[in-house]
Amino acid sequence: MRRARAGLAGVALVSAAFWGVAAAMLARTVAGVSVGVIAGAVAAGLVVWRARAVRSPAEVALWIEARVPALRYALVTAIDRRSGGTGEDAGAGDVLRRAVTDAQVDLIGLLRRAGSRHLLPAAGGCLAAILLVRQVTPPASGRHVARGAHTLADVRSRLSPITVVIRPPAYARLPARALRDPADVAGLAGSTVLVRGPGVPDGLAATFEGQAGLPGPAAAVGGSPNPSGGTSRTSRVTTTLAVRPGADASGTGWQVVVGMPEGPALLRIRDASRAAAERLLILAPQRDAPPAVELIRPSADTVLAAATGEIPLEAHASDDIGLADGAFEVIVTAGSEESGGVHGRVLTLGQVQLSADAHRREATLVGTLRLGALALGPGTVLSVRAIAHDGNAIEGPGVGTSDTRTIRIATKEEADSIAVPGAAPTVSDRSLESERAIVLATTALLRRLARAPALPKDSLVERTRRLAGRQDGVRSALTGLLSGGDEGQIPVADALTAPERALLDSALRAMTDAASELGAIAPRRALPLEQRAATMLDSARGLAPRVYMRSRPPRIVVDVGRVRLTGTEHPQPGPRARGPVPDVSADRWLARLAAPLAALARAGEEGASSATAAESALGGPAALRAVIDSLAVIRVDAMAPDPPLGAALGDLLTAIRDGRDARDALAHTRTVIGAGLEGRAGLSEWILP
Amino acid sequence: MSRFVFATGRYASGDWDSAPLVPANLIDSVARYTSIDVAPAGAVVALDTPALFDYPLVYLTGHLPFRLTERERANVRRYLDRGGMLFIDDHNHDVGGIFHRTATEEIGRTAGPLVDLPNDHELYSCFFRFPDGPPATSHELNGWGDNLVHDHLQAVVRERRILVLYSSKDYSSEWGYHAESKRLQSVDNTRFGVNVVVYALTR
Repeated sequence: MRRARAGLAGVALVSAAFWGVAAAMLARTVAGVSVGVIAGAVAAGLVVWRARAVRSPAEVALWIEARVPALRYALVTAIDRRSGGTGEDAGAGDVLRRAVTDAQVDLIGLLRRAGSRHLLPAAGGCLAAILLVRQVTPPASGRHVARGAHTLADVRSRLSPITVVIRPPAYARLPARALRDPADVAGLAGSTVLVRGPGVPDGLAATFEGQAGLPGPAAAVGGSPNPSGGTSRTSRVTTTLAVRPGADASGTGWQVVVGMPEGPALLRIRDASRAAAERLLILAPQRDAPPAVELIRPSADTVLAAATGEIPLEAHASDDIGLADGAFEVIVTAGSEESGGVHGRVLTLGQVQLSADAHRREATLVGTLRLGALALGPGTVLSVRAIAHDGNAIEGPGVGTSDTRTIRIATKEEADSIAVPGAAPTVSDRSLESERAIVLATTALLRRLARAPALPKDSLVERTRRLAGRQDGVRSALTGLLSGGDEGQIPVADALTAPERALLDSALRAMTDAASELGAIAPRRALPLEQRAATMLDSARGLAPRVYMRSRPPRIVVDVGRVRLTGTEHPQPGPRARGPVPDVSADRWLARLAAPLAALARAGEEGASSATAAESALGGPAALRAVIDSLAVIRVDAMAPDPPLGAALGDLLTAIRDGRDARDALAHTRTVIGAGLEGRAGLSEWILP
Repeated sequence: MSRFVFATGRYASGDWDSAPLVPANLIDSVARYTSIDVAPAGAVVALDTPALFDYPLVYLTGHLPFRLTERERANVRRYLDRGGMLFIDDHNHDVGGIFHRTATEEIGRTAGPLVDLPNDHELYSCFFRFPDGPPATSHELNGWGDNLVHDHLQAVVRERRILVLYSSKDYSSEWGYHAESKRLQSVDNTRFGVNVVVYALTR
């Protein structure tokens, strides 16, 4: 009896295993791994539950009695006596064995027949499930699957959902990011982009379409694009990429690895096992900007009377990713063309390495320029700027430089530290010097008045009015400066900043008041006003961002009429080549956008207010997908030469994909192109759900 | 059509006005050989002002480091994008000097990479013909200075148009004399300057 029960239990368990496997495979193909596991467990459990009778010896005895009538219930009776506990147990076993022997029961044959009856259907079902699953999924290797031969494959595509992992280049020291089912993939140029999807890789093909002239997709990845697959098509280069097995959560899957290029590109993945199954990913590289550097000290150009002392240097550098190093560059130039040429040497000061500090995005550079150690002669010019490099190991390093400050050592011929040889001082400089002279003269006059003998009244009046005249002259010159008066060809008034102009206005008012006081023979009241005017002028000069090396070249007027009569050379011009093609970018973009926009309009005109309606209006889902993909391709082409148009098309695509009203995005796109708005009744109605 | 004004660019660093006689000399040549309505006097224009856009061609030269401020750089980029042309000449007759190094770096940052301009470029035939390319200067030929003839000019070219024409040949010295002295020359050495002007105005 024990052997019979064990045999029947074994048959039930094996049968349950077959049915469980069959159910699991079918369910997994349709709905995924987790659902498959559950379905398999449920199917196996049902079979086991139906065979629960094998736990009872009485039920097994009845099962045997039903198949061996010769036992005449002897077996059931013996089981009853055993289970009844009447004290005759010892003899019951013997009775049972005798009954089985007398009836010549073939227990092995019974179990074999039971196995055949239950196990064969189970194994057949399992085999059928395996064959069905193999039929509806791509072959394991090397076999091409005919298009349109599958039904379940239509339920679950290998191109969705996909996961994109972006690993920034090592120098950026940024963490990897994962995107689920994106349309656009943005990342630093040189990042590794890993695209993963469900299913097996066979039958999938991936191509990279990038701009000609830029590094290809394998620049930074360990993948193996097929260089021989590259073909030129207009300004784009197409490269075939390898689609490889890549384990996902279920242990299967495919993956494509591509490097983020330096320009916008398309990653196109096709599924050969499904008609018109294609997935487009826009690779939108983010450029690593070079460092921004600001030179804080010295804050302005200057002329030094002697090459002695120290000049403190200070600069601020910042970068979007991380700084690598920074320094001050000093170019020392001396000599002149007449004395054998201008010679220069380049010095580097205050160099600091910043890459050791991870992600240091800002830094202050300091240094000291020791003039005495440079052995500078008169007329030497120092050009100082700060330089910083970032850690960009892909396209860089990016170099950022500050504006240049010029420090010049005065020559012996120069009267003071302000005047520059070869040119008269500017009006503002002349005003300052004259105002200082008036202050000195007024001070001297007041000292004279304080001394004995007293200054004669006529002499006081004459000297004071002369000072008033000088003050008025300076005021007139400054008035001319502020009103945009003659400063040669240099528009001084336009070049003034608001603070400079405010200071000069204050100086002008002080000069006017001082002239009035001097006219009234009141030099003591005029002196503070004159000093105030001088201070204001000095402050305005301090605000001036730059003092040019020289003021202006001599103005030479050519007598054109006379010269025209003296020409002796006869030109022999060559044939003119056709000039550059005029910029018709707006027309070009509009021509490319015409087809997809017309399709969208057609869908709107037919009252498409849902995805299904839009698809049917356009001729099927593939047609709608083609419209979206066309816009995506145009966007990739526009991103580099016309970033605003690329962004506008991105908004348009997002609106369509998200099912939002695309009117505003469409209008913005046309505005960016410069084509103006065009009323389209259909488009105004067209909204994807 | 407005009158052509020869403009000299003023930049923040260096000695932008190192060749004060060149503008008048080239104005003389343009008037002498062409029918271009040229203004009798040149103009000086700061590179960081909107006035830059009034001039189709701007001449820049100097001996000292050539560097632009951020404001100058941005303004020059817009100027070049909108059809302007710069003619930059190294006033030093040396090789790899300080002006050359700083100017080529600055041009690269502002306009793009410099390339050798082929000697059959239409710049050399748009008015006078120069079948051998850019005419050599006396500094190159007489051994004074670098004793080297620069075979090519360099340029930043966009869609077949020259944006920046860069010369290491020191035309600023070669053309830096009073126009009245031309009568003493057998061949006017400023003829190439006429080609530069004609190219800038017609391409």
